Amino acid sequence: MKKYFLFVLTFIFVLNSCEKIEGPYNLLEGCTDIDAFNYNENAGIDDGNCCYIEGCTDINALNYDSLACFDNDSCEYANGDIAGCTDSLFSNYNPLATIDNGSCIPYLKNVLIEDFTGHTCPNCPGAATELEAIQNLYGEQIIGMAIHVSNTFARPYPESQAPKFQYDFRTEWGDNWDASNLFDISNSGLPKGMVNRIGYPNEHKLGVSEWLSAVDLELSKNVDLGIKIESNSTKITISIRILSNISGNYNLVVCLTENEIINWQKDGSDNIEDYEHNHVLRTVLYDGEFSSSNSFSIGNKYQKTIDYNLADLEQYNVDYSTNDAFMGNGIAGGWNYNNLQIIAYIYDANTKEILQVKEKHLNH
Amino acid sequence: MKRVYLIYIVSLVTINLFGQSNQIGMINGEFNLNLKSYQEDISIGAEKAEEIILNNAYLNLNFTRGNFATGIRYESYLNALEDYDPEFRGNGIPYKYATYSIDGLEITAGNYYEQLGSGLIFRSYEEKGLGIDNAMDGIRLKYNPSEGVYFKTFIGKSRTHFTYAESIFRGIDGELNINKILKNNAKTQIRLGLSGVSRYQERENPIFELPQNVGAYSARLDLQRGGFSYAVEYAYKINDPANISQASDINYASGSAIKNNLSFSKKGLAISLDLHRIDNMEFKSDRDKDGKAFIINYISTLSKQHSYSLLALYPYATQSNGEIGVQADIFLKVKKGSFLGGKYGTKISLNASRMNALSGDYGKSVLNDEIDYTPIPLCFAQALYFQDINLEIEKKINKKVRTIFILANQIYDRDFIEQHTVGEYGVLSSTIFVSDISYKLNKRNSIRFEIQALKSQQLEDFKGQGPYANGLERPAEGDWYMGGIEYTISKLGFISIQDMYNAGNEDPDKRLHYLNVNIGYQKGANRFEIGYGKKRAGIFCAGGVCKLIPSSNGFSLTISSTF
Repeated sequence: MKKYFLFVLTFIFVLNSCEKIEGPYNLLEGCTDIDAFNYNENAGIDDGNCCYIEGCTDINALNYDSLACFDNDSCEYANGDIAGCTDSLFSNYNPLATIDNGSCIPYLKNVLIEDFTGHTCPNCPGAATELEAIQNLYGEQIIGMAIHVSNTFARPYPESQAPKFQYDFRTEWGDNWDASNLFDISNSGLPKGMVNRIGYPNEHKLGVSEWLSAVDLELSKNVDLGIKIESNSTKITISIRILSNISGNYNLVVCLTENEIINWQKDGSDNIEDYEHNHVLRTVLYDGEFSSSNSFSIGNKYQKTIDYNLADLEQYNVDYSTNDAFMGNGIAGGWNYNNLQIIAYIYDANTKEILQVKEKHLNH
Repeated sequence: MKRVYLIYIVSLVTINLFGQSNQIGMINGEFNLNLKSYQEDISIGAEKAEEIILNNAYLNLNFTRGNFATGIRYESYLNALEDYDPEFRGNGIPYKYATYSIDGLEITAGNYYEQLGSGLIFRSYEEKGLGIDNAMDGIRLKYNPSEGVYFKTFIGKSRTHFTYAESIFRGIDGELNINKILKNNAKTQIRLGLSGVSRYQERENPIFELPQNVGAYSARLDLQRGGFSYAVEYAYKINDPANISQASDINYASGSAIKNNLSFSKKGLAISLDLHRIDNMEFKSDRDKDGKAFIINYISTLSKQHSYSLLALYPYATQSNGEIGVQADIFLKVKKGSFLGGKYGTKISLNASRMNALSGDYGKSVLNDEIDYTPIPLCFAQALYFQDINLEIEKKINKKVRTIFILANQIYDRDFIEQHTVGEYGVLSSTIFVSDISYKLNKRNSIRFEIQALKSQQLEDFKGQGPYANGLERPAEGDWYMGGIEYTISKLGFISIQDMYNAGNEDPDKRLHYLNVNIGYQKGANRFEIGYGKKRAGIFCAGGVCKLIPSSNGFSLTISSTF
């Protein structure tokens, strides 16, 4: 009888080693009132801290409002004073500011999610919406890039099937990153992504359900660098501020992505004619070092200026699709210059890990 | 006495030949090498391999002495064949174990394969053909305290390629043979089984609450009386949402599965009826990962597993997210000397199976803050995924000639099963004929002819959605023919030539031949096989688990050896 008792005991033990979850399922606390200034659309439980009064929240300002809990940029200061952030290690450092108004915003750790995708990949839109959901959760700290790759999912359909899937979203750089001697992503099936390229060379290919945890891990890391981007019609300038003493072999990459491209996309069992493709990688303008040094001291600043010509860059993709891409058709132009974004990131040339990334609209 | 003596001699010879036996213990094992070259062939879409030649190989080595056994498996993927996951890369010893049994208790430390019940909630196994190996690494105990009572329990991590999944599995299984326990010889034989398994994986989602410990349970009952037997198994899995941040996609529904089999057999006749219903039963070794390597349960397919190439051209595997299926199988052996049986008797088997979607828009249970949906339990009115009706007649004509004829009709929702958009390939109805004739030339030499034909028809019209017939987006593959000859010299080897011809392809450029030539040679415990051929891209299944494999073109070499 003892042995049956032992079995029943072990069975009960395994039976209890589980925890079924009952709703509500979303346990994130925040303000859930849509009318409040600090409404958090991701929150599932109200934390009782909704804010309904806006005004100037800087105690140094002339019109400081002690009741306001939401700053509406209305602060006014004494004549001659320029209020701003006076510390150069912060992202909004203003060298002209004479009075520090406590507005300094630290450089945050940003995360690049490279979404390897294809317009005929039926599960890929699910990855794009997950990327969007993560961006909604963490805001500008999350930067997305959609890279169309693979002979199966990204090549255009033959002309006989026009107008469906005629556009060629592939680029030389995307194909190089996807090659088996580098990140080798599409061989493992799409959609897959990389989050700051962590885990290379064996664990960098992440399925969609792995992105969120990887992003959380990245956001908790130290911020060693800050990046600022400025652009005009011919030049892009990248400024890099060192925030802690670091050493290593670091490279800078500058690329352009395009938002709001309306074109065909497979989504589950449907063909969507007017799907909105966002963050689509268009070109890489620079991939190389930003300093010949391997040792970087806190406070140092580096700058890299890149000349560009959009028409040439666009033609380069058309030529690549025509001459080099597998079954390419040359339909790779038609860029909307108003929807282009600059993404600049710095990575460790040995581990491939991206240390910092920044995105800004291109002022062409 | 003479016979016993002969058996003794044969066993001694066998031990000396195949096992290195001495007083310390016994060593045995096997070796297998699979080398393949990949050349480009744009017409069939085959890509060349950067490495030109790819290679999979393994060596199993086991040592046993009395109640003790230990062993290793060395695996080499330099680099893995194209139909394997690229994560199989490099060399290593991923499988090693030691086991001993004493007083009814068997203890295993290291790697082991394990299955609870039929595998609905847990199955750790290897299937080389598909590149699946989710061996466990940990401890397992099996206990047989008295006759008819059998327990096992285990804890461990599950293998994924060359590493192990992050989670930890704890499992238990008990089986009782009631008649043996009660020591009665009742006509009705009863066996009862209970299993449970729990997966621990750290909780990580910043928004949603995820269970860290996901449990699954199953109960099974086998009844036997005379020629009748009935087996039922029910499984339940608690909710196991994916680690994502989209409220509309996260699913908190629990899973369930039920399998029923009623069968009857007597001399020359066997009838088997099956019914199963599966809902939300995909169980993975890592909630965040995708891919076959992470699936830790197994739901067998109800449809018949075919080996003839055109019958297996459009194969089916259970949809673990939701399906309801039925199968009937009748086997009849017509007596020798009767009108149908002839001089040597005739074997006839009739098999029919049908798999439908569960009711409702989602075809599976969905439960979250935005959607709440549970399909009705029994409903066969929903979308048909797959249907197979086939009749096989095996007849020996005389001492030299044996024939097999098969006629089948299969309905295959290619868009759904292969995850295409609706109207890309459509729903196929294939009528297939197979004839297989063997002729024994003499005691050692035989020749076999195989002829197969597949007539294909599209069942749905997508009305101008795409440029091809029936409004399809892609050209239909249409009709196929296959012919093959195999010459075998027993205990020495064989040569075979077979050709598959896609005569009916709607795209004239794709009306291609897929020719394969293979030569095998066997001497003692060693087998060598070389081949050259083209393989069509398609789905390959083994035991109801399927994998999409790319087309290929090239030479192959297989060497296998046992000792």
